[in-house]
Amino acid sequence: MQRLVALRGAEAVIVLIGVVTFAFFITRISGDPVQLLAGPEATPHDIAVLRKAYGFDKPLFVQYVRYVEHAARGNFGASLRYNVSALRLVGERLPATAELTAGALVLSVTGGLLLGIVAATHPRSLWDHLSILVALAGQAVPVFWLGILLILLFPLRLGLFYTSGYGGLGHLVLPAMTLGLFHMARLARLTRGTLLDVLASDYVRTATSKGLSHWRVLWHHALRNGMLPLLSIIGLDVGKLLGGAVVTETIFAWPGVGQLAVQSVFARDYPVVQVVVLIASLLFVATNLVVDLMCTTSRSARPWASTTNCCSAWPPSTRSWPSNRARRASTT
Amino acid sequence: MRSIAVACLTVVLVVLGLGAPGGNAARVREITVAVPNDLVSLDPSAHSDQVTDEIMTGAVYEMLDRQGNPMGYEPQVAQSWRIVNDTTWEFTIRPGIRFHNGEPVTAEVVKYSLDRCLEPANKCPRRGHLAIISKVEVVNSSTVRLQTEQPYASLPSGLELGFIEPMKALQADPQALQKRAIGTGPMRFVEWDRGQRLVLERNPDYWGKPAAFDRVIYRPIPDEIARVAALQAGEVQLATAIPPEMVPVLTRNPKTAVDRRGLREVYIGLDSRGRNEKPTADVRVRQAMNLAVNKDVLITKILQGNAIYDVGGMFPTMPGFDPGLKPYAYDPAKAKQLLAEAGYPNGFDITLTYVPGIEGSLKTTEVMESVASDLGKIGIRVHLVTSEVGAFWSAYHAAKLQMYVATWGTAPESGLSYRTLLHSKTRGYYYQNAKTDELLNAYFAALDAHKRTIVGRELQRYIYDQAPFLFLFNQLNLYGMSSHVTWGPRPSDIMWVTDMGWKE
Repeated sequence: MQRLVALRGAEAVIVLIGVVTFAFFITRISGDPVQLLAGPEATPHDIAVLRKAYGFDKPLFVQYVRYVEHAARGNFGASLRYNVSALRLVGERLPATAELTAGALVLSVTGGLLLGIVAATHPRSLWDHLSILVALAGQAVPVFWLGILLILLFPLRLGLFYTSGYGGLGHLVLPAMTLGLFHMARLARLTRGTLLDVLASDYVRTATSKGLSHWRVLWHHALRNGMLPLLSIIGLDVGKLLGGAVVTETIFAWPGVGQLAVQSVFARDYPVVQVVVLIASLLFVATNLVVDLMCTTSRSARPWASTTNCCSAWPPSTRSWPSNRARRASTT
Repeated sequence: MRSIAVACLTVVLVVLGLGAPGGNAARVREITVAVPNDLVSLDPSAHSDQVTDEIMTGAVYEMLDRQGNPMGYEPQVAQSWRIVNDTTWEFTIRPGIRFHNGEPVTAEVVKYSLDRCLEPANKCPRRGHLAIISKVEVVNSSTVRLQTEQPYASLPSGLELGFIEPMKALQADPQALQKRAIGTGPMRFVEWDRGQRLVLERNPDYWGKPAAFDRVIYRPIPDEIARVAALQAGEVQLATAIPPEMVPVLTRNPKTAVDRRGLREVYIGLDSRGRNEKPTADVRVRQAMNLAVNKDVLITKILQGNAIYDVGGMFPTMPGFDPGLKPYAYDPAKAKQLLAEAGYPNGFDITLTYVPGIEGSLKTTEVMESVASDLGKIGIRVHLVTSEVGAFWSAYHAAKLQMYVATWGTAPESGLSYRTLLHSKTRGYYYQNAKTDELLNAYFAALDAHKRTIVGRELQRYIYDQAPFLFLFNQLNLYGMSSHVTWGPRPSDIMWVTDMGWKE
């Protein structure tokens, strides 16, 4: 266990250094921030004066060395646009992104699991069809369209919640719904698939035939085993939600990291872009590590669970359980 | 099954219970304004962002003079000014003005403020607008003299970007203005939650007409639909930069209204030097292109009436504007004839590069498609290319574009739109003409108002004939507001808080 953590830790550091170097050179090849800072009404002379003042006239490698020297001491530079420490700028925005991610995660996990469980336990019923419909629609609907639709419906028509902005829970509902619907739909579909598989397995049949209540079978046996692949999906979703909330943040004027990242890319605000890339990579690596550790501990505690790697790719419904294969062979 | 249903219902009810916002009681004394992006900086010399200017200049910071109503210049921090000689202007500072931190405004303070931006090491992005000033002299505690490098009639315009900043605070801490905005304006800085809101309160010691509001709050809402939705929901009382298609929606609703003010010139630049595209080097080709585009369709159909014609690239507020000069007519037959005369009877190919929404242009894609279609009818095959903003400006400054879209909205009355864009010294990438340079120099050197009008008239006619641009239109800036808000008609896109009021 400790060896795993140490090994992964070392890998993470290498990945992060590589990512930061890559980000450094790629952003600088893409264009010149001074023209954008000077504004469209500047003359070539104005731009040259500004470029010299910022030190962008030095060779690229010299700039890189200076950057690494400062970064090693924790100084990731100041935002070219805002003239504030880039690290502080991103740090200010992280809580908002974290709140939005958490809200979207709560909605998507509870909604997705509930819908998937209901669908799996009542196959071919109205609930089942409804959940498939929600899953399809939720994954097909574009985020920006959904966001605007929710704004037009809830605050404007029904007088509920707020059109945009950052504040208490009331402000969080619509953005969380917008961001979370896709993941909720996906999770519902995957939960339904996993549960259908698990509910058809031998040990569940054994438990039911032993006289255990429907609920106990579902909760203690089926869900506990079915959760493993779902956990890894949810873990990856956290990484994706943290990074990909740009559209939602823009529509709802949510002061998160995604919005800052995109604006900084367009404005060629290199220091901020580099810090965002660094932090996003850090979070992704950390989330992956946590998920891996969880899988390792769960697998060691449940030797009767699936023998395949719980972090392996989807879909579970085509994974053949040995008992299912034998059962199907005997009926056909 | 039933327990799941009950649980779901409970959750839904709780969430709905969180939903009802406090409602917006008609508060007379506080107004919330929705803007397209957040402030970039509290320090006016540290940024070149337009939205930040519109907010801060209208409320917190002041300059020696400002745009008048409806034309000319109004004194602000300066009480009056006079021209001493061709290159010397003398400004008398209004007595008794204090900064929000109590510091008095004197001639030394004015000199300090202007020098601060003029110093290249301070990286003031707006330095170019003030660079014509070669020296600032303090004559006495209430008089300051500005020397210009050459005679410059638009100095009051340049000074509209020369913010008066608190000398003592900055000398004590050069970063002072990054932490708090300290100006002389009708509103005082309270707090700035970056990315969320800026709160200003009324300045009780203001020297001029007091603001009608106790508090003004600015909220950045980048998405234009969300901005209008916030206005309709009553969360904000003023929304800037609204899309033209929302105008009928807001005018129909008795609780909201639409305001139009300020002008933004939208033009298509042509490669008049012929380095990237040979045909446009011929003036007849450029005139033909101007004749081929149906500007009525652009203004009435695409922008739904929210624009006026652009006549030779001159703003109506510029001295010398000739109201009798008509814009290029829509005459495809004559255009074809001109093309043939220039030696292109079968037209030619050209690439039009643009960034959708660049510099506040509305409906860029639709406008460009209409232009391309019109040019196609006379044989000019336009290849439309969209670009990302950073890559676009790089290509522009490297003089690599054949045809491009840009806009101009700063200080329309100053003539800078002509000088910066068409003088060979300041751009010169796509257009260089000795007579234009001569006329521009004369226009800016004409300190006498009457002389300036005469030169201006000739300048407009010459640029009109030269057609270095495909002149499109001047957009009107669109604002949505609650029908309680009143806004005096100064034709400026700066949100002057003292021009705004509230009626029941």
